[in-house]
Amino acid sequence: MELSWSTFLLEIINFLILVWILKHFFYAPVVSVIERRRKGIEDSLAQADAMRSEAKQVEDQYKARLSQWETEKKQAREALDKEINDERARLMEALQSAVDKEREKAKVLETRRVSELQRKNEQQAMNNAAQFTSKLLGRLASPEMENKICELLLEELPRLPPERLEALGNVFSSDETPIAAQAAVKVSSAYDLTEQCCNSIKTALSDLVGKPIECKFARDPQLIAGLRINFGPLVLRANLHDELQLFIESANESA
Amino acid sequence: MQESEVFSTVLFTIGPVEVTDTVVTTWGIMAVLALAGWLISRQLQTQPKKIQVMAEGIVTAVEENIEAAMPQYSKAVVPFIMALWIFLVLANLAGLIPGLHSPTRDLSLTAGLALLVFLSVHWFGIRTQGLKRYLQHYLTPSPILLPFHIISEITRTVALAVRLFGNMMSLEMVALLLLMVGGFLVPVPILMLHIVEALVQAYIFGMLALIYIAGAIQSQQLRQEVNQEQKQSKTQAEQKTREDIHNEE
Repeated sequence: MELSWSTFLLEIINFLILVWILKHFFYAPVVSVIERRRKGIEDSLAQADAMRSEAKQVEDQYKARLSQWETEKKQAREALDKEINDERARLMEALQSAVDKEREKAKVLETRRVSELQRKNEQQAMNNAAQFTSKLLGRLASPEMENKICELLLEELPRLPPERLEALGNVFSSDETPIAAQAAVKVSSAYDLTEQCCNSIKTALSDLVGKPIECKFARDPQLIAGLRINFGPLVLRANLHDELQLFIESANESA
Repeated sequence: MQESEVFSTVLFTIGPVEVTDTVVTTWGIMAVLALAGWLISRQLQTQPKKIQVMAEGIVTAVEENIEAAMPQYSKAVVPFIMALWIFLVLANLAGLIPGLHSPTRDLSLTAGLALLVFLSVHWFGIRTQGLKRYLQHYLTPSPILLPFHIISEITRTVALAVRLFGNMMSLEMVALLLLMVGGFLVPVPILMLHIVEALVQAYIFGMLALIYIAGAIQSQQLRQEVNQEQKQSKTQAEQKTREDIHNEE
C-alpha cells in the first residue's frame, strides 16, 4: 500500500471532470425535465383552480339567481293568492247575492203558489158548497117555497134602491124604447105560477115603473125555486139558482 | 498471492505520469456514466419511460437527502454529492466484474476524493459565508480550540480516505484469499457481502461529505442565530430595566 501521486492527481482531475459531465449531461437535463413537468403540473393545477373558481363563481351566480327566482316566485305566489282570495270573496259575494235574490224569488213564488192554491181551494170549497147547497135546495124546493119567494119579492120591490128604480123607470119611460121592448118583460119561474101570483107580479111591476106593462111568463127549472124578471137589459133575480151564483161570484171576487 | 492482484499496478506512463489500472478503470466508469447520461438526456420527455423514471428517481432521492441536511444550499451541493455517490457505487461494484478491481481499493483514489471533500467543505463554507466570517468559526467558542479544529479537519479527512480504502481493499483481499484457499466459487458469499458493502461504503462516504459541508455552512448560521438571540435578549433585558427604573421613579 503506497500513495501514488500521479494517480492521486489524476483521480482528482478525473472526479472533477466526472462532476462536470454528470452535471451537464445528467443532472441538469433531468432537473430541467422535472421542472418542466412540475411547471406543467402547476399550470394544470392553476388552470384547474381557475376553472374551479370559475365554476364556484358560476355556482354562486346560479345560487343567487335561484334565490332571486325563489323570492320572485314567493312574491308572485303571494300576489296570486291575494288575487285568488279577492276573486273568491267577490264571487262568493256575488253568489250570495244571487242566492239571496233566488231565495227571495222562490219565496215570493212559493207565497204566490200557496196563495193561488189557497184561493183555488177556497173557490173549490165555494163551488162544492154551492153545488151541495144547490142539490140540497133542489131537493127542498117546492111550489110553496116559490110562492113564498114570490111574496117576498113583492114585498121587497117597493124597497129597491132608488138608482135601480130610476134605471127601471128610464127603461120604460124612454121614448126611444119600442112598444115591443116594453112588452118583452119576461118572468121566468121554476114552477108554474098561479094566476093570482101572475097578476100580483104584473101589478107590482106596473106600479113600480108607473106604467102598465105586459109580462110573458115562462118556466125555467134551473132556477130551483123563485123568479127571474128580465126588463130588457135589466134583470131582477129572486130565485135560488141566481142567489147561489151570486154567492159564488161574490165569494170568488172576495178571494 | 501477487501484490498486483490486490494493489494497483502501473499500466503505462505518459512522461512522468504513471497511469495505473485504477485510473484506467476510473476512465472506464467515467465513459460509461458519460455515455449513459448522454443517452438518457436524449430521451428525456414529459411522459417518462422506465429508464427516465429510474434516472429521475436517483436525482430526486439525492436531492431529498441533501435538502433534509441543508435546505438552503442544496442546489449548489447536489452535483458534487450526487457525483460522489454514483461514482463510488460503480467504483465499488466494479470489483465484481472479472478481470477488474475496485478503484476504491487504491488509497490514491480515496485520498484524492477525501481531499476534494476537504476542499469542497471550505469552498462551500467560504462561498456562503465569506472568507473572514468562515474562518472566524475556527476561533469560536475560544481561540484556544483552533488547533483542535485543525486536527479535526485533518483527521476526519484522513479517516474518510482510509475508511473507504480499508473496507474495499479488505473485501478484495478476503475474496482473493478464499479463492486461493477454497477454490472456484467459494468466494461467492463474500462477493454478495461485497455488493452490500459497496453500497454501504458509497452511502457512508457521500453522507459524511454531505454532513461535513452542511456543518461548515450551518455552523456559521447557527452562530449567527445564537448571536442574534443573545442580542435580542440583551436588548429586551435593557428595555425592561429601563421600564423598572422609570416605574420606581
